[in-house]
Amino acid sequence: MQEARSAQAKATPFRIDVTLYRESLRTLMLDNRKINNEKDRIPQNILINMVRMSALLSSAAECKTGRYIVCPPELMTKLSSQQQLISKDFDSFKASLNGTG
Amino acid sequence: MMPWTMQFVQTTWAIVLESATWILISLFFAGLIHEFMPSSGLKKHLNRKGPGGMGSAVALGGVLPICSCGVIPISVSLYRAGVRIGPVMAFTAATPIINPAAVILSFGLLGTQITLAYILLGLLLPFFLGMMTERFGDKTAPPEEEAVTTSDCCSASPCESGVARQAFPQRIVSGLRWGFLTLGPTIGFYLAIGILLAAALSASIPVEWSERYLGADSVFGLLAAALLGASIYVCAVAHIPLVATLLASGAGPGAAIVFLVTGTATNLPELFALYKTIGRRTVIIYTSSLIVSSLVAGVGVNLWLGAGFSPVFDPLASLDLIDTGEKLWLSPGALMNALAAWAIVALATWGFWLRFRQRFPGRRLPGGSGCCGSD
Repeated sequence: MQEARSAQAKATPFRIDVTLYRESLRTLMLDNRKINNEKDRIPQNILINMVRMSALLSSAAECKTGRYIVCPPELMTKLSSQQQLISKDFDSFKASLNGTG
Repeated sequence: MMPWTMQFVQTTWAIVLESATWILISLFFAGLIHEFMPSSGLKKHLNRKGPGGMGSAVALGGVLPICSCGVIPISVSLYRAGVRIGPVMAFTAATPIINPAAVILSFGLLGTQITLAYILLGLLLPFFLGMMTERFGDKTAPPEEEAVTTSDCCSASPCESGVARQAFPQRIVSGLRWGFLTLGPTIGFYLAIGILLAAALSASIPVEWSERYLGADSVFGLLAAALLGASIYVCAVAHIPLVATLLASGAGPGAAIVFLVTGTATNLPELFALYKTIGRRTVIIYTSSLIVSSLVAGVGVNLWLGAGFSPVFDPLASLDLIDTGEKLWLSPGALMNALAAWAIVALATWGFWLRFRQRFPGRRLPGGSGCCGSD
């Protein structure tokens, strides 16, 4: 995300990172389904926000200007706010785990 | 914060890169249409009275995966080949909105209800816009050729009177020459001006505005979504993730659908090029009908789904749908985009030179006044 905002991310490694993010997310979701205790599972809203993040990063990967990724300001703002949203969601999830654990 | 000029230059180049390959592909088809359409059955089909002609135009637009800037050369050549203005404008609207990749991505990110509204609007809106422009648009017949583009007199219409006598390969060459050498500079010049205007607008609009105004749960929010969507350059596939986050951050479903539909159906470069090539009245009717009808649709969607609607879906299935949508998204390679972008810059510069020469006709190009090498 930081790379996309810097306007200095090289296009090819960035695209690989985006694909890796999506595949890690897929693995995370599959593993999450295997957890028996409902309370220990990552909540649906966090996963949905991560899916949105993945789609935004794919859009960013398409913004190639020469060899670099240069995103439009609107996309950068969305990437930033989506990251904040996911961090906030994860913080409250961690807090709920600590509270119950 | 990036300086305005830097932002302007980057946005300009980003729009050129994104649209250039499609404009070149469209010029290719425009040339073939110019050559073969006047005598084809497709023209009769598109010119049928009633909903049949309009339906054919919408179906034709639906199968072409081209964004709103790219569709202009084909639209202009259809118009100049004698297709009625209604089907031409229906085709112009349908091509960028109805895109299989966008529909699948929308299912994955915006949910079933909004996607259904998007599909319904994508089918009905071009129909409506075609009917409105047919009824109230410019009534004049399309010009045979623009005077400014006839510097290469071999590609001008008078010389093509013997076209029917040419062999098939020669007709293809003749059509492509018209597409790239006659229509190309004109369209390139107008699109370049439109792209510069769109980039200036994009660089000037504060990014917080989209969240602030599109999130406003009112008719004003819907109007802001429509105006913003109609002026900036948006490609449906690339824009759906933005609309999804907009929806997640509290924007009403109506604003999301209005922004998506007006954004994909049109933009400033497209409107400017159409304004100059097809007619002022048609473009005014087209844009105002698009804005008003999408506003009505937005209000309808808000009433149907409720302003606080948030799509619910299975994240894993959504990820799979996004994968499928992106596989269907035809994205030319970086090298192809860069080469196409420079070709468009060259066409626009040539178009500018032709305009300049027309305005200041002091000197004539070497080659005399003969036509088609007849002298």
